[in-house]
Amino acid sequence: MFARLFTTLSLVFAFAGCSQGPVFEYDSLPIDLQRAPTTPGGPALGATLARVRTGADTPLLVIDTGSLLSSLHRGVCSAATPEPVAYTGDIQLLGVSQTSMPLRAAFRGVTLFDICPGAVGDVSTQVAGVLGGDILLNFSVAFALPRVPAQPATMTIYGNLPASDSDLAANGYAVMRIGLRGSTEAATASANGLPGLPSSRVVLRVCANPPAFSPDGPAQTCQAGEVELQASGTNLLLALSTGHGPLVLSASAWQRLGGQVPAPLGAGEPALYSPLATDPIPAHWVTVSRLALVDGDSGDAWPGACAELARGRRIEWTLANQNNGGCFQPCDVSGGVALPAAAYLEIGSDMPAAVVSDTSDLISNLNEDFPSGAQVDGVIGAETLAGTSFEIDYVSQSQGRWVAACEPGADRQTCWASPRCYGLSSSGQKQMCFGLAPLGLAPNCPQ
Amino acid sequence: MVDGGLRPRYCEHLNAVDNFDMGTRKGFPNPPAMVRHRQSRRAPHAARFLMTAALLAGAAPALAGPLDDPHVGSLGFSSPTTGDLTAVYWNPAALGMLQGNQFMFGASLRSTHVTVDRAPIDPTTGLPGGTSVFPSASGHGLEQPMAWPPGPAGFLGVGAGVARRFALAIAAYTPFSQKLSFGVATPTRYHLVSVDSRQLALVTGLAIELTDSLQVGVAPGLLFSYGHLVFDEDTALGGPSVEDPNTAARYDLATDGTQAPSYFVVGGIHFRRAAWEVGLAYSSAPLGSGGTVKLAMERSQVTPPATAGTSDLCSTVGHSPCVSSEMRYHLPDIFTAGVTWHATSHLDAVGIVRWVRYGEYDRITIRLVGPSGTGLLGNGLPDQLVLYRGFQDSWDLRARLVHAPLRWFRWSGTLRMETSAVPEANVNAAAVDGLKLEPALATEFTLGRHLRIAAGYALTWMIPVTVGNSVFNPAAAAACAQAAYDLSSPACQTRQAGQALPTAAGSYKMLQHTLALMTTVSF
Repeated sequence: MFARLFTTLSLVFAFAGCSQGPVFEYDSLPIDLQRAPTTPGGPALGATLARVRTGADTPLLVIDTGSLLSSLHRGVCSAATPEPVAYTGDIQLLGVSQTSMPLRAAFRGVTLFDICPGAVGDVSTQVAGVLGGDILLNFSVAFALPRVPAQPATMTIYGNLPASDSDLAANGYAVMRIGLRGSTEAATASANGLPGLPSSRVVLRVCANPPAFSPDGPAQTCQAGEVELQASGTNLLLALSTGHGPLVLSASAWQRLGGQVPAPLGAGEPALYSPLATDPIPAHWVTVSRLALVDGDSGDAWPGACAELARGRRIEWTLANQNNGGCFQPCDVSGGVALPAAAYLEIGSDMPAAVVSDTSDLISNLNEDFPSGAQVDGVIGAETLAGTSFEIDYVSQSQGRWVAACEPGADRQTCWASPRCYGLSSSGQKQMCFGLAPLGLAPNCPQ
Repeated sequence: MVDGGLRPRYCEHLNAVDNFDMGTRKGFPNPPAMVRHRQSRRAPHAARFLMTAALLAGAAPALAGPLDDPHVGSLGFSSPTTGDLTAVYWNPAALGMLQGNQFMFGASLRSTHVTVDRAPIDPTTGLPGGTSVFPSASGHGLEQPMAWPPGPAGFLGVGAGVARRFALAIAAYTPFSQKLSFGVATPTRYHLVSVDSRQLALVTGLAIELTDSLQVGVAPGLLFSYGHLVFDEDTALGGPSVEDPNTAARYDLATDGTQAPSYFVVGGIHFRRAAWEVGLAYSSAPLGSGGTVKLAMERSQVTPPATAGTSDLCSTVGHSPCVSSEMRYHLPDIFTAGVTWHATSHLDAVGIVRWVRYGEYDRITIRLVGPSGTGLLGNGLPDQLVLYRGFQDSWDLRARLVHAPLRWFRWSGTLRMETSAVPEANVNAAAVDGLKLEPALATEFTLGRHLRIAAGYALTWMIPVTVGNSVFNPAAAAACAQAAYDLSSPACQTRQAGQALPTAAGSYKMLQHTLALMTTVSF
C-alpha cells in the first residue's frame, strides 16, 4: 500500500510540470533595430522597429515597452476596426541588417492579439504588430539608443540582470525602481473572451524643465522643511514607451509646465502616430528644455521628483565644494546625517514634445488602470532617450528596475546619469559619487 | 538560449517505483549492519525485490559523474540499506534502523589528476588536423573538508532513534563538488583554467517504521553553493590569429562565500525480509527552480586581452571588482537502489545502482554586468556566455562484499563501475569523464561499546578518452557573425549552445585517489 502511495505521489509530482508554455529563443547579443521617423518627415530617431516573419512577408513590428499587449495581425487590415481577437501564435523577430534580415529572436506559443496597429511616426511607417510588455516582462531587456541616426539602435534580450542596486550604482548606473502598471481590470473584463494581461507598463517619475545645473555654480541654500519649496520644475508621471518617438504630454501637463494649448489643438500641425491609438492623434508640437527621470516612490513622505533632483544637486554641490567650505544644507540632513541622493537621469536639451488632448485615446489608454486622482501625464519616447542606454529589468526584482546610463562621451548638458549616492555621512567612509574622486565626510551646515 | 515557460523535466523519463508486496517482520536491530543482521531470516520475496531493483535499473538509460561525490559517508560501508546517519544521503528510510543516539564525522582526501593532450590544429582555422601542436597539460585537484566554505568530502551528522518507530537526524555533507586547476597558460585555457565548485547540503532526516519490515524516510535539506570558475575567452575567435594569447580575455568569477540556499529533498523506502534488505531512494535537484542553481558571482573580474583599449575595466569607476555576474546551471536528481543479502552471519553481499540524471546539466550560462560607459561590450568582451557541457545520464554500479570475521572488525571490498556523464564528443578540460572503474577497500574497527572507526581507500581509473570529432567548433563564431547572427543558421545554433569555442579534440586521462576516514560514536 505504501509503495503504491509512494509511486502515486512520485508520478503526481513528476507530471505536475508537464504542461507546455511559451518558448523563447534568443542569444543575448544586440539586435539591430530600425527607427521610425519622430514626426512626418522628421529624423529616424523615433519608435524602435524590427521585422517580423509572417509567411513569406516580413512586415515591420514595433517594439513598444509602453504597450500592455503584443499583437500580430493576420491578413489585410480593413478600414473598419474589427473586434480584437486573441490567439496563440509566434513572433519571429528579424533583425535589420544591410544585407539580410536574420532571425534574431523567436517567441513561440505566446498570446497575441489580432489587431491592426496602424502607423507609427508617420503614415508611411505601417506596422503589422507590436512586441509589447506582456512578452518583454519575461526578460531583462536592454536598449541602446544612439543620438546619431546613422548608428543603429539595438535591443538585447537577457534572462536576468544579476547585479544589485548598490553594485550598479557603484558602476555608474542610475537605477530606478519602477512600479509596473497595467490595465489589468480592463483587460480581464473580457466579455468576448480576451485573456487578461499582466502589469508591464513602466512608469517613471520625472521633473520637467528643471534649471540647468553645474557644481561650479553658486550654492543653493535650503532650510529645514524647505525641501519642496526649493524645488524647481514640474513633477510629471510618464510612461516609458519605445513605440513612440517624441515626448508626449497631455494638454494639462503642458499647461502645468507653463505652456499654452491652442484651440483647436493641433490645427495645421503634424499628427502624432502612436501604436497605442488606432487613429492619428492631433498634436501641438513644442519643445521641453530638460527632463530629469528620478528614482522614488509615490508615498506620502516622498517630496516629488523635482525636490529629489534639487536635493541631489545640492548634495553634489556640497561634495564637489567641500574643500571650499561646502556643507550639507539643513533640509538635506536628518538625524545629523545627510540623506541619500536619489538616482536620476537628466537629459536635454530642447526635446521635441507632442501635446495631445487629455481625452485622446493615448492618454485615456495610459490612465485606464490608474486610480482616480493619479494621472499619467504622457509618454517618454525613444527620441527623448537618444544618447542613452538602458535596461528594463522586469525579472530580478518583484517591482522591476530601470537601469540607465549615458552613451560614452556624452556631455553633461545632454545626458547625465547620477547613481544613488548612499550614506554620505558614514564616519570614515569614502565613496565615489557624482563622478567625483573618492570623498569623505562633509560637514552639516548650521541651522 | 532557449527558455521554456515550463520545462517538462520529468516528462520524458518517468520511471515509477515498482509496486511490490510487503511482508511484516518484527524487531529491527541496530548497527553495525553485520551484527544487526545476524538473525533468523526468510526469503520469500527476495527474488521479487531483486527483480524490482533490476527493472528500475534497466528501465532507464545509464550515473555518478564528474560532479557528484560517489562516496558520501564512509567509503566501503554506506549504502541505501545501511542504518546509520549516512542514510540521510543514501536513503533516509534506513534511518529507521537507528537505535539510540549516534554521531558521525567523516573526512575524505580526494586527489584528482587529469592529463590533456590536445590534438594538433590547423594554424589558419583552429580546426583539428593541422601542424600547430600543444604541450601536454596537467590538471590537479585536491578535495578535503578542512576548508572554508566547508567541504567537500566531509560528513557530519547526529541523530537518534525515538520511541522505537521514529528516527531523527541532521547531517551536513557535500553531494556535488568539482575541483581542478590547470596551469595559467595551458592549452586548456579556453575551456578551463581552474574550477572549485561545491554544494554543501544541510539536511534533516526523519524515518518512520511503518511496519516491522518497512520504513519510509524523508530528508528535506538546504543546498549552499559556492563557486569559483576561471577560463579564457578568445575575443578573436574565427579570426586570422588562432588561439592567440594576446586576444584572450580572462574571466575569473567567484562567489563571495556560500550563497543563499536552495531547497532539495531526499526520500526513500527501506524493506527487509529474511536475509534481504532493499532500499530505494530519490534525491531531488534543487526545488522550485526547475533544478537550476543560481550563483551570484560577486567577486568577478574580467581582464581584457592585451589587444583591448584598456587593461583595467575598473579604472573608470575607481573600485575593484567592478563586474557583477550570475552563473546558472542545473544539478541532477538521483535515483538510488540498493540490495543487501546477508549471506551468512559474517558475510554480506551488497549491490548498489545509482542513476544520476546528468542529462539536465547541459550548459552553464553566465551573465555579466560591467561598469557603465564603454564597459564590457565596448571593449569587445561578451557579457553573456554559454559554456556547453552536454552531459548525459550516468549509471553508477557497484558490487560489495562485507566480511566481519570478528565482532570488533569488519572489512569490505567494492568494485564500482561508472558510465560516462559526458559523451565523447563533449569532453573538454572542464568536463573530463569516461567509463570509470574503481576498486575500493575499507576496514572498520569497533573500539569498546561506543566507538567505531572506519578507513577506506579507492582508486578511480578512467579509461582514457580520445576525442576525435569535438563538438566545439571555433569556426562557428565567425560563420555565425557572417550569417548576421541568424538564429536559424547552424553556425549560430552552435554558438548559442556554447559550442563555438576552440576545439577540445585530443586525449584525456584521469586518475583519482580517495582516502576516507569515518568515526561513529553511539551513545
